[in-house]
Amino acid sequence: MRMARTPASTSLVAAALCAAAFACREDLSAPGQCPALCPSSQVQVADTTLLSVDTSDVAIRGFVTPAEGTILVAADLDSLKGRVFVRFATRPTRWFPVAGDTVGVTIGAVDSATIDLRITRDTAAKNLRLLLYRLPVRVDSTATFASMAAWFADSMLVDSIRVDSVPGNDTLKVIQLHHRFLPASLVEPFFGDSEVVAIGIGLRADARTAVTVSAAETGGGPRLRYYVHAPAPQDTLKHTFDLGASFDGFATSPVPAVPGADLLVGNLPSARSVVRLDIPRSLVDSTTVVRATLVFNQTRPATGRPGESFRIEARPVIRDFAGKSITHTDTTLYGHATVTVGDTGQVVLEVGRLLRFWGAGGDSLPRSVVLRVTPEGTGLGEVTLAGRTAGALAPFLRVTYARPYKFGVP
Amino acid sequence: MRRLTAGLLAMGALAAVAGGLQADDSVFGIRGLGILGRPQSARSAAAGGGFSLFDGEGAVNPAALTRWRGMSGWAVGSPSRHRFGSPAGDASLSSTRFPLIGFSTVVGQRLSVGVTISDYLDRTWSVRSVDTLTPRGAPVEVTDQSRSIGGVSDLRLGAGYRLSPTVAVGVGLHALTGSTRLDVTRQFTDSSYQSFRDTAVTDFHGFGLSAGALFTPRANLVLGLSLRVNTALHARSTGGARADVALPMELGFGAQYAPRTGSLIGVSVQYAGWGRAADDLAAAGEERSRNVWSVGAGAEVETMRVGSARMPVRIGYRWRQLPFPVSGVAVGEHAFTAGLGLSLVGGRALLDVGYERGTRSAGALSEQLTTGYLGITVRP
Repeated sequence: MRMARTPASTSLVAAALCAAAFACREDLSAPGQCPALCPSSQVQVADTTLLSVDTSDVAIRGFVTPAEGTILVAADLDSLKGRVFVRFATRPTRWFPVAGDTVGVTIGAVDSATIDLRITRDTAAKNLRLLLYRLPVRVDSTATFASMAAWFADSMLVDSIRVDSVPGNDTLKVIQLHHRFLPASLVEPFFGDSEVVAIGIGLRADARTAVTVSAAETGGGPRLRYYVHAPAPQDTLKHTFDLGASFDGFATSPVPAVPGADLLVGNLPSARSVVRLDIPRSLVDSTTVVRATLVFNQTRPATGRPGESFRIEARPVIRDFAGKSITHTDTTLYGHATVTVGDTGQVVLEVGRLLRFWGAGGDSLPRSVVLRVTPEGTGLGEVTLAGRTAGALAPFLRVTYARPYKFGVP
Repeated sequence: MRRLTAGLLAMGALAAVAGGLQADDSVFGIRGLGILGRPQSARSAAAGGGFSLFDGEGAVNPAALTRWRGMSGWAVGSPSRHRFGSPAGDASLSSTRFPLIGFSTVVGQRLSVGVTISDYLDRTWSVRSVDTLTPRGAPVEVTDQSRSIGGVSDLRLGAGYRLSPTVAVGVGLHALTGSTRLDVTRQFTDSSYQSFRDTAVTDFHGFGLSAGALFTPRANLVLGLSLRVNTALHARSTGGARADVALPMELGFGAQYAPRTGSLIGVSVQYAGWGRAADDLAAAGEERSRNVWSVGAGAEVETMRVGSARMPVRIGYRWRQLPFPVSGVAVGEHAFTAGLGLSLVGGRALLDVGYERGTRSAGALSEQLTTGYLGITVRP
C-alpha cells in the first residue's frame, strides 16, 4: 500500500493545535450536594475552656527605664504627676573655623540661645506653658519625683514657653517648639565651669494635663543651640553650638507599682509578666487549633496618660529564664490585644497560631508566654492582671479546635 | 526523516502539556471507587466505543493486538468540560486526562505484543460547600472544600496470536496501580479563626487477567469477545485506614461489519459484575455497588480526502451504567459522538480527533459532558 504524503508543515500546525487544545484550563469546584455528593466524613469543630491554665507566673519591672524610653512626661494630673530632666552635652569652649587649625577660636560672647522641643499635648488644656527650671548637672537616672521637688520651685525657674502662642498651635496635638531665651544668659551654665546645662521641664495650664516630650532616643529629642561670636579683634567670627541631650529622663508620682501577686504589663520602667501554661498535650498534638484565646481579668483599670491606647502582646518563650526569658522572633506567632487607659474589661489575646506552632514544630519548647507592651518604652500605659492565685479571676484559655479528619478508604 | 520528525513533534507537544495540567473531573467520582475509565482510542471513542473490542490501541481485548502489522506507539489526550447542575447550584468544571498510551510490535508473522497504560478508575473531583457554625455561641460562616486528585491506572502487558486467517486470540496481564491525594480544607470568614487543612494519600494496587478472541467468519464481518478477571483492589491510606474491595469480572462482545469498502459499522456490549464489590464498599461506609452494562455503536465512512490522504468521518452513540449509586439513585450516562482522522507524514503518523456530548445523571443531579479526544499514532 502506498502511503499518502502530507506536508511536514501540516504536521507542525497539527502539533500546535494539539498543544492549544490541551492548554485550556478551568479550576472550579462543584457546589457540595451534601450528603449525596460530599465526602462521607466532615470536619468536626469543638470548643473547650481551660480554667486552670496558668500554673505559674511572675511579673518583673525595669526592662526599659524612663531614661531609655522614647518619651519624657511632664504632668500635673491628680492621678499622674511627672517631671522631665534633660542634661545637655558639654558646650565646647572653642571652635575651629579653619581646617587644620589646632588652636581654634574661643567664645567672646553668647548672642542668643534657643531650645527645640517636640511635644505631644492635650489640646483641651488651654494656655499651656512649659516651665523650664535649672537643674544640677549631676541629674541622672536615680532622680525621683520627690528628690527633685526642690529644683522645680519658682526660685529655680529659668523661663517658660507658651505653647499656643504661635498661630495654629492651639489646634495642634503634636508641636515642634522653637524657643529663644531672652536674655541668652538664662541658659549659661549654672553651676561651676563645667559648660554643662541641665534643665527641668514642668507645665502649667488652665486645666490639669500631661505633655509628652520626645526623648533623644527618637532622634528628635531636645536640642539647645548657642549662637556665639569670637572675642575682638575676631569678633566678626560667628558660630553655633548645637547640643543634644546627654541624658534625659523623667520621674512620676505615684511611682509604678512594685510587682506582687498581680501580673503587670507596661509603663516606664516597663513591666513584663511571664505566664506558664498547662495545655493538654493531646490538644496541640492531635487536633488542629483553629482559634485560641487567652483571657486575663484586670484587677484595676488600665493606667497611663489620659486617652492613651497601647498594645499588649504575648510572645512565646524559647528558654524560660523568668525576666530574662528568650522569646521567639517570629512575630506572626504573637497574640495581640489593644487596651485604652481606663479600660476595666478583660484583656483578650488571640494565640491560635502559637498553639499550632507548639503542636507542629515547637514540641520541645516551654508552654510559656511573655506579656509585654509593644513597642516598649513609648508610653505609660499599664495593665494589672489577675494572676494564678486570683481564683475565679485567674487567666483561662478558650480553644476551638478541629478534630482529626477521618479519612476513609477506598 | 523530516516527516518523522514532524510526527514526533506532534507527540512531543501532547506530552509537553501533559505535565502541567490538573483535572477537576466529575463530582460523581466522589462515590464508591470513582468514575470508571474507558480505555479506548480516539478513533473508537469517536465511534461511540463501537470499535473498542477490535481496536489494537485499546486495552479491552488483547486479541486486537494482532491487527497491527508493525511497530506502533500511540497516546490519547482528552480535555473535557462538565456543566454540573444540582439544587445546591451549578458549576462549570474542566479536566484534561490522558486516558491511554501504548506501544506494540510484532514478533514473527503471527504474534504481536504490546503494553498499554490506561485509566481504570478516575478519582479526581472537587466539591465546595458553605455552612454556618456557632462555635463559642456566635455564628461563623465556613467554606469547606474537598479535593481529590488521582486514580487507578491499568498497566497491561498483552499478547495476541493469529491462530488462522480467521481466528486470533490474546491474553493480557494487568497491574492496577495508582494513588489519590485528598485535601480537606475549612476556611472561616471570621479572621479570628484560622483555616483547617488535612491531607491523606491513598495507594491502590491489584492485578487482573484478560483474554480475548476475534473471529472473522466473513471477509466483511468480525466478531469479538473479551473476558477479564481481577483480584481485589487493595487500598491503604496514610490516614491509617485499609480496605480490600473485590473487583468485577468483565465480559465484552461485539461485531464489526463493513457493508462496503471504506465503510465500517461496529457495536460493542460490555458487562461488569461490580456487584461483587458491594459488601466491601458497604463495610467501608459506602453505598452498595451494582452490576453494570455498557453499549456503544458507531460507524466510520471514508468520504473525505486531504490531498491524497484519506480522512475518515466517524459518528456514534454510547450508553452505560455506572456502578456506584448516589444516595441510592443509580447513575447512568449516554453521549453522542463524532470525529475524524487524518493521515500525516505519509501515513507514518495518524491524528484522530473525537468529540462527545452527553449527560451523566442521578436523579436531580446531572452533568452535561463535552469531551474532546485527540489521538496520535506513530508507525515509524
